[in-house]
Amino acid sequence: MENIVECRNLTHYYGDKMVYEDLNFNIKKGSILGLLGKNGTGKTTTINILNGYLTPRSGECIILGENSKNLSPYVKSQIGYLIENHVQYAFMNIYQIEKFYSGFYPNWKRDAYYDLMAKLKVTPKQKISTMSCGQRSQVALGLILAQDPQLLVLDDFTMGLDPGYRRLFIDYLRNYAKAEGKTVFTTSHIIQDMERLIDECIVFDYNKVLVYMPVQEFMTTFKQFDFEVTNPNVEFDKGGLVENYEKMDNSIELFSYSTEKEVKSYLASQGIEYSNFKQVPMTLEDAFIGLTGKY
Amino acid sequence: MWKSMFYKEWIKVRLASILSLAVGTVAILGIYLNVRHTFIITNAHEFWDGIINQRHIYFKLFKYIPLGIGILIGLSQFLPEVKDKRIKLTLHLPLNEEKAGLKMVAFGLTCLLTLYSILSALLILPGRYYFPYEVVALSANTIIPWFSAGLAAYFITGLITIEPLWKYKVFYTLLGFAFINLFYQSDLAGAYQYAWLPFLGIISLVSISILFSIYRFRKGEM
Repeated sequence: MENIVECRNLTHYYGDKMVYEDLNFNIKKGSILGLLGKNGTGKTTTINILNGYLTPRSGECIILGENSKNLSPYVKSQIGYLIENHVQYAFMNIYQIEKFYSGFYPNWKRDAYYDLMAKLKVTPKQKISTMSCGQRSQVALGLILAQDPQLLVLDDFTMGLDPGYRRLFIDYLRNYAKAEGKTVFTTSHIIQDMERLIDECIVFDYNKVLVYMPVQEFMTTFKQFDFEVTNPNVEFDKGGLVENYEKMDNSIELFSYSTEKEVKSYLASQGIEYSNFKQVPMTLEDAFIGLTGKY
Repeated sequence: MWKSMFYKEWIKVRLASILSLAVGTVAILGIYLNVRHTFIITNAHEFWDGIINQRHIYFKLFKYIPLGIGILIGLSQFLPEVKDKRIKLTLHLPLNEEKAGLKMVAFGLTCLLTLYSILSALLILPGRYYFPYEVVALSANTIIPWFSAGLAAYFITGLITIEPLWKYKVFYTLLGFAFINLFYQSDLAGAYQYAWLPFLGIISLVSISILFSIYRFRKGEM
């Protein structure tokens, strides 16, 4: 399948601080890729590189066949960009902002924007600066729908949204993307609800990529095992079978790609006595925290 | 695209433009009320002598108004762009980034030249009622550096506001202050009549300086 985005060997530093090295990922046409990570792991840096606002130290991003450092006006017209916190020209009102953007896009779909606006309890003359975060998110989404781009780049769109608006945004976006064959690249540090949206995920930790695979594969292969140990001072070596673990007194939460049988065999080989061993079902958020840790 | 870009810029500066025009007009009204008062009530002879022989400027009240207007238009145009890094939206428009920046500047320049033309006419034309042609011509010559300072202040305000790094902002502010100060060195009417052309040349160069800040913004120095 054709790749809309190809990032090759991306490396970036802020001064001496490494963000990541040799990051590689592709986004297939029509897929929804979520870049998940805690604050400060490089999500917005990646978005900035994709949009040409930041030159990486090395490596390149190819978007719709062009290097992101020099995107042509045509390719930019095919990228719908939602800035963190749904930033828009807040000094305009609903009517003015539509009028402004429509002049730049020949295939502007005015009805798509106004259909969404009709659902908001605001007047056309209401300034965007006076709207709630949820309402602003709908204005920003409406503008992207009207632009009708091939690729949607959404930077932490869940930020500041209450659960209702978050769900509304995600459902509207997923239906639109799947119905129209759009490609979506989104970042988020709030993992709740992302399970409903994304097809593939990349999980960032500081300086490294922990996961890059389809969400379904991640959710079936990554597991949580809870058990109690006799010796509360037991420690596990991370990196082999154990991806991560959390310990509270005698209770252990162990995260692994291995099967229950393999984990039990590992515990036995380490001479660790345990009881109440069970595999616990996880949401994407549980898996994310399990993988990246609580701190 | 020009139309859309100008539409956005107009939304940002319309209040500042109306305010600038109002303040300028009130100042000019005050100047001519003062001239009329001097002619009718106080010593008209001394007033004439001051203007003709000692090259006094009878509209000194207007001196810093074009400068203030330039800064105000610059701030009202560029501050909303940097707030919440909205400049990203502008640079993401399907335009060449440099063209997008220059279109914003072109609008600001058009707006300023319109305001300055109206205010110049309001300042100079009534002068013909009170003074001979030579005095009016000298007046026109006198206000050119003030308007030039306003234009320079507008471009420098844009440069400083868009600039992503504080150390550069401070440097540009000091440089801009020193440059604009050159336009206010003399209080004699017509003192700059042989100097404003080179000044306009420098201002033309300053006018594209915003491209440097945009370039640095795109490099990621934000």
